Amino acid sequence: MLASPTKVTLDEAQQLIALETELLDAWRLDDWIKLYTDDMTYLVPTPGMPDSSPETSLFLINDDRFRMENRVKRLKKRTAHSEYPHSITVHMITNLRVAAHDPDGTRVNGAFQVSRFKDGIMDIFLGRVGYCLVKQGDAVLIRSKRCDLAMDALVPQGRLTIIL
Amino acid sequence: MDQLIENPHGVRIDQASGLFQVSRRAFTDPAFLKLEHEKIFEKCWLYFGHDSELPEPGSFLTRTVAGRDFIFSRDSAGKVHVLYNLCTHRGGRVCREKSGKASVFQCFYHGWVFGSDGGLRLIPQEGAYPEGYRNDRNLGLVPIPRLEDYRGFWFINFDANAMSLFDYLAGAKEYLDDIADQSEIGMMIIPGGQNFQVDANWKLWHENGMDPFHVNTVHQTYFEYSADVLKVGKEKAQASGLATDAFDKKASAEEMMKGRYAALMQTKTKMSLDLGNGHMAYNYPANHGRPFAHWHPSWDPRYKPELDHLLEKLIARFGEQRARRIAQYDHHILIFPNLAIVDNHGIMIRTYFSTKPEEMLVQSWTIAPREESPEIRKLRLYSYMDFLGPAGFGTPDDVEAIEAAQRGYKGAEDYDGWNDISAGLAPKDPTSFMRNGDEGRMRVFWSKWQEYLSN
Repeated sequence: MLASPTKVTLDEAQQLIALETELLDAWRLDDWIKLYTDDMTYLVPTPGMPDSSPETSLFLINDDRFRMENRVKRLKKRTAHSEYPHSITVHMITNLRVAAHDPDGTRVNGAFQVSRFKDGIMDIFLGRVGYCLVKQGDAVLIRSKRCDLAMDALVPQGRLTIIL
Repeated sequence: MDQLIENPHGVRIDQASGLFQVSRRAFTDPAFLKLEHEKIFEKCWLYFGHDSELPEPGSFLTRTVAGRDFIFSRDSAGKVHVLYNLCTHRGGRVCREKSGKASVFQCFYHGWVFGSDGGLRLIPQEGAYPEGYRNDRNLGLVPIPRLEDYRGFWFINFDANAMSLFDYLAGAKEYLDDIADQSEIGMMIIPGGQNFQVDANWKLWHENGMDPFHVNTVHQTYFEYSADVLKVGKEKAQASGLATDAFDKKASAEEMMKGRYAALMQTKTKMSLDLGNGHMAYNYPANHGRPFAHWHPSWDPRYKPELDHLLEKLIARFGEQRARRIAQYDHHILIFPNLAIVDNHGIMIRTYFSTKPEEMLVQSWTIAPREESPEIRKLRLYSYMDFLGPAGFGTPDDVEAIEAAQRGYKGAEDYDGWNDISAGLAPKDPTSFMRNGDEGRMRVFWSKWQEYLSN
């Protein structure tokens, strides 16, 4: 079967998402943000709010492109104290499957585990991830990413200053 | 230093030589924590929750406050209760859900059933007890000794003989009014309460909320972000024909501090910096948009008509001066011992409690006018994270700073370490307060802390 010009395949999704994790772990944030569309969103709901919307519930992160670019800009400064020096992270994303193709793009669901090591303390962030991926020309890009943490409090993590 | 007043409770003051210091043991020594639990947390009014969290008869939620597990419930008659969440029979956890609606709570251990008012309704083996046992023995869920509210903010007190909440809140009430009066029909907690652990003593977080000197250094990246937002916003506003001259001041820490201290100076001359009972609050002109009710070029022009209208309505209710204070100023309110309300990019209500000296559980919520339009609500929730929350551009750096301090206190007993909060106690240049502020607000807290521990 020929590859669809608009639908993203599981293989394409896996390649893109693996690249994303590699760029995040290397703190190559300027390259990382290039994987996202201009109308991107990056959402992390308050833990324990799986079906929530950022329009009616408080979130941990509700970034559009503008704020995401500023998050990147901030994280590159030595005055972003909570991430200076940068923590050591490993992003693992697994159980990926194509859940749907809809007008916004291809929905890919999975699970994530991200470790953050800083100042002798290892924190783990675990949860479910939902991507919306699109094709723009030859490129496959991320239009949205939502990470639902599988916990109901940031205990003991305390803060979320890395990008999941 | 012969005037030095040293006491066993961790604060030393020498007014004449301008010295005010706090022992680092106050943050690390379990003996201090035990004293605090007994002499502060079991004596003071503690914020528990907001009236809107129990929207109708039968609404309940479970919450840990001051290290105890409680049920917060509204009974069928609409009365609010705070009940220890354990069965009077053999101590089982009666309610294991986070929130919901129920007419009764049944303990899953042996099946005893309690009403939403805490009363014992049913013992499965009632025949095994004497006649009237269920009603005579006071076997209902144990209520908190005192429960009172001020304008929808519910507080508990473990001391049955405590003064009323109204008296306890003292001068802080008018600042709480400036929050409560942002709605004509009542404020509501928005879904998404955020609990998180910070590896530092609870007092460091409270102190941070009063500390003027950390703002420039800890939050530099926030101010840089703010300046970028303003620059982009102004271009957009001007392109749509809106004048932005009125907002044309540098969105810098320096500018913000100027506003803050000018405002503080006024309150200080009125002697209301110390609001009584260890509470303190301060207002300063906002240099960003406020969801109630202040449009600013950092926000899209399409929000302006609605926000302007909200401000007009507020002026009609309260007059120009108070309306502008509510809408155009940021508000920080610190209620002794462990409640902070920050009203800037949104409203954050936060409490903190330590069960070990070197860590705390932080509970935080956001609150908004019930009648707010979906558009402004969405803007509010977006804006909140510009600074606030565990992933915002401000809060995490505060966390980093106080955790680093806590880590540093390890071994402070080796060299008898003290934190210095003397700035402004005896200034050689009295006008330096206007330029730099001082640490007087923190001394309001520490003086009361010392007083409670000494009693």
